[in-house]
Amino acid sequence: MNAASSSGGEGRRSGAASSVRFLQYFESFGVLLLLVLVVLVASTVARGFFTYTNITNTIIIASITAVTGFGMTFAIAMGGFDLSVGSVQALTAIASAMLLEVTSVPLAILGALVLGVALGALNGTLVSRLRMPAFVATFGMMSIVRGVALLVTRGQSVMITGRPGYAALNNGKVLAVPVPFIIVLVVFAFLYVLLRHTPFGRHACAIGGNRRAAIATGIHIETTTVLVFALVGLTAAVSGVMLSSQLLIVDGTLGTGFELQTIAISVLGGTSLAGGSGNLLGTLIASLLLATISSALNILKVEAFYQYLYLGLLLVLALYLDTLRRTFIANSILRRR
Amino acid sequence: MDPVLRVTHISKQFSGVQALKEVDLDLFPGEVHALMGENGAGKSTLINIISGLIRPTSGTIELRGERVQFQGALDAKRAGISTITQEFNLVPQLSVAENIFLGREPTGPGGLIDWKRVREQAAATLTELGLDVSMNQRVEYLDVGDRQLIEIAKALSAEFGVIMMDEPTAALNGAEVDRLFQIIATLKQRGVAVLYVSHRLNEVFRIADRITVFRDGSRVNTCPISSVSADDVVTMMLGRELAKAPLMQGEATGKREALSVRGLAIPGAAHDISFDLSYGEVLGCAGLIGSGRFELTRALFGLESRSAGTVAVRGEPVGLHNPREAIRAGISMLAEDRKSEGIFPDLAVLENLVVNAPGARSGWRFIDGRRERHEYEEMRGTLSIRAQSPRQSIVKLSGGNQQKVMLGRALVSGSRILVLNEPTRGVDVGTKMEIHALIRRLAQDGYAILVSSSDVPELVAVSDRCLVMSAGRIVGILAKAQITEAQITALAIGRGLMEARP
Amino acid sequence: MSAARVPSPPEAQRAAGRPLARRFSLDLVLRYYIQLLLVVAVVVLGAIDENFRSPDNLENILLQASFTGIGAAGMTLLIIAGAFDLSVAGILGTCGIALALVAAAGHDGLAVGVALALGAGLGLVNGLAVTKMKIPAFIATLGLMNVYLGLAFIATRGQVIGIESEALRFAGTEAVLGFLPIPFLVMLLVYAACALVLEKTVFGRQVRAVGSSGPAALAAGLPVDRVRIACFVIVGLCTAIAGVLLSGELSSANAIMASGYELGAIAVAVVGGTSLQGGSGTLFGSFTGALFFAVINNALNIFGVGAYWQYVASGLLLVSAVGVQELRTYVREGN
Repeated sequence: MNAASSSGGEGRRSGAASSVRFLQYFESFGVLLLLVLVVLVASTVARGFFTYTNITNTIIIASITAVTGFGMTFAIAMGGFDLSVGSVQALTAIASAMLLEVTSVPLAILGALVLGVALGALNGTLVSRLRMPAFVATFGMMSIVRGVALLVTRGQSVMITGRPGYAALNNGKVLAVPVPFIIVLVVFAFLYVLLRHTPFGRHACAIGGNRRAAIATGIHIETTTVLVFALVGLTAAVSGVMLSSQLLIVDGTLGTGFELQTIAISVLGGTSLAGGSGNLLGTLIASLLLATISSALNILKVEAFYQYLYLGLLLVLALYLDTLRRTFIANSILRRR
Repeated sequence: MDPVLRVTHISKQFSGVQALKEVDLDLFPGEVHALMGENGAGKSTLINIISGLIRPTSGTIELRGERVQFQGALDAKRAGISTITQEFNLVPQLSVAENIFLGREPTGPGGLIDWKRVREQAAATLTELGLDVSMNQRVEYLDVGDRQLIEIAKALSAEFGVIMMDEPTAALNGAEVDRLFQIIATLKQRGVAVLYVSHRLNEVFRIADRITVFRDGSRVNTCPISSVSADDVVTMMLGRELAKAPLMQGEATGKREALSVRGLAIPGAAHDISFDLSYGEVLGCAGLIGSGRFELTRALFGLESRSAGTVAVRGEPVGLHNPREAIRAGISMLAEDRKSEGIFPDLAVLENLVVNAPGARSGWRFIDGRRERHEYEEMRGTLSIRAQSPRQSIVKLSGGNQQKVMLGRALVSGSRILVLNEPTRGVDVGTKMEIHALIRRLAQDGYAILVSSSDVPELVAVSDRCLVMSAGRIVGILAKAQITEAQITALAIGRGLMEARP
Repeated sequence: MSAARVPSPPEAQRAAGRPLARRFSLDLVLRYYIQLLLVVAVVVLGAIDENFRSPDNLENILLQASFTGIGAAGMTLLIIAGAFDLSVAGILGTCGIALALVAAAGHDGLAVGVALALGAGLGLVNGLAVTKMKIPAFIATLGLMNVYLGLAFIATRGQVIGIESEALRFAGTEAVLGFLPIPFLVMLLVYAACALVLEKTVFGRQVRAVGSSGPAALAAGLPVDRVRIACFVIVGLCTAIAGVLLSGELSSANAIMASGYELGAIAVAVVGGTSLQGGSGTLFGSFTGALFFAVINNALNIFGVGAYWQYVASGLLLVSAVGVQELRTYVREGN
């Protein structure tokens, strides 16, 4: 990589550079290490964890969070975030359920996805054109969409019946791989290519990393913002469809706390809230990590309540590490002479 | 050969001030054209016009023989003019290669970035510049010197015909300056025209082909660098002849010492700073960008950390780790940029004034309205603050009056040591003179005042003694008799102490 | 009233001509829009529906306004200081449960004390996470909410804890003078205290300064971190007070008794004129906002539109309020 980064190469600087490089590697692989560790611990401590059924279930649960996590990672890379993903997930799940009563499976899914894109684009417009802080716009939308979801269902549940094929979205397997995970891989591939290998993705990162530089370079901030939020809405809709195919009975209270989970896995996966870069692979690994911990706790008959606790603590810890990392880089690299 | 860029009879007026008066300049491909002049001579204004940020009041710009009118900075960029300033337009989280191609990424089928082309071209550019940086390295892990070179690589890769560099060596050490000059040599070979704005005479003489000197908004002269001497240039900049004279160190006034600084070092900005400040004196502090002056005053107030040295107030060493400690030690500061670190835009004039008055520091106290109004009236009288009422929103006040309120805040805090940064920035002429008179009066009343300013005539007007900083060190402490614009400028640009011929 | 904005004298107005006068009255309307809206809403609804204007219903409105309103008082101070707290739902649940548990042991006074101390303590945790660990407020408090909710669930095993204490129930439901519920009186006290602190104490001014410009506050030597932490503690305290009263009203406490509380508190503050950028806002505005929300919710209930519209209404009001603030800045700067 970077043997002699620049002129001089004083001992202090190469020392700082190598510890920074260590930090880089740790970022990318730290969470993987953690996952392996947790899986090992869970297998030994929780009898019944390392069974085919359980692993499959864990992967399926992780998939639903991962899909939207990818979208959230993209948004964080652009310097924003979306607190409405939980509500969007609920509404799109309801939409797919209701559409299934009147139309075919493909069209119902399409309808839900279009809804997600529209809601996301609305968020994006509030943030870019009306210059609202992402927090307010998505926080407000969170409750508006939640309200609509409850209204539309009149507080009742909606069942999905008479569609035998639909559950296959959740239970089916292709070459022994659960379908939800295939969806994850597809979305992952799509967003990975978009983020890393298209000008659009690089521009989104530029906006998050140095907004002024992005403007100076002629990047269209407003268009990019709307598109990225639309993308988040799309991934929330995908997870909504996946959830409806899993539960087969949806209501307006779905997805509560979903925004926290998706932000948590992005941060745990190494994506910094400061913006400028997104670690999609890390998000995927973190979603598996979280699902593994949940699964293990379930097997150990630990009450679900503890999961609230550990998730919150884990998030705060991950955020603190992020702060430390940024401070460390700022201090070690920019101090010279 | 025809010039790639030619500006003719460019004038620029800012509400009542003539910043540029009918200046001409041309740039040939492959030349390094230095632009020198004192602060306020118009260099920055011209750069801003050429880079499209502002429009000239009159005059023409011709690019490769064709007249152009830029609608904005982006326009000028698209026309092939790149400006490299202190603030880099780099995205720290993206790689070197991605930064070089930001906004103009080559794409292949399907709209995907053509990494092969990116790698090839980036490699070519980096090799050409002799940069030993991995193109996949994130910019955030590069230091300032490397980042600046990436900015140049951006311009080179995008085939910009004109690169303007504004004080490019301000933040570089010796080895990095050498490297920059090698790269400029490469740019010359490639036929790029470089407009090099700097106050460092020795560097200009190393690197430039021609030199243009501005003074008071007009072009004084343009000539090949080989045909002038350093003294000639300084004479052109100041308008007077100078001759060498023996160095006279300014002595302290012998009054009571307020502040003693010994061996102060600020990483990346300044080292070996030592001086004394007495009660009853005004100590000026001069220095251009990159001299360390800015960081020094902030370090004295706890906003910048120091790596070595001691600061003593009235003989007692103090920590100065944050502004609270500084105020407790008896030092108050006027921030350089009142918009970002001075005023509270949502608060009233009176509140801005007394926000940290001694009687109003402890949170669990009721506001003593009467005492504060009294303090306000007192300051209003002393400083002649013009405000409709103490409850008026501070943003409604003129720049000069806002500055007075900031000054009042420093006074109200009870500190007897004042560090004033750019005390008359953004202030109208009349108020400027009032503030200068005020500074003198405060000194007479026994305050110890350090005035750090980029406005050299201001320093001449108010200082009893004057520090001059250059490249992170104090290069001179001038006694009263020696404080002239010529002396200060000469020292600041590294010319040594001189004495003006009568 | 925020001291910063005072209309310029009439001569200036006339001298500046008609455009300024129009801009000025538009600004005036925008500044007091929430008070105007409240009056209009009450009058119109009272005229339309006789259920609305019944004394029982008005008492109910005041009661409902106070639960969200009390939390909003603290939140107003915090937003003025430039931060947010999304964990208040968790704080409220935890404090309510603490109250119920200690009250069950028979000590009402101690129960209230414990609940308040807990609220302040959790606020302190929030403050430290944001200032010392430098985590952005919204995500730090979002994560911590989960932690508090988790603690609340664990303490109750997910059950609802009943409150037998007569005194606590009385405080939560009864009214004085026939139509002033005790919680409303508490709300008046809380708002009076917060307004006093904001307008008349040095601390209050420090809060406004810190929110107006953090760097300037630092350069002026203000204890920025301490001010922010104190605001978080105040939010925790106010939320705890609301929790005590709400538990009394419900005669029970559980972990999710105040789900969505943060939305209500923030929306009330924003609708009441508190700027999300920090530095400006009034307790009077938030007070009006709390009443306004209660009136709207009440009307929605009366018209049988159901609780779900309240979500939509809150969100819409929040978004529109921010829009109105943008409009005000736009108008004031005249460009």
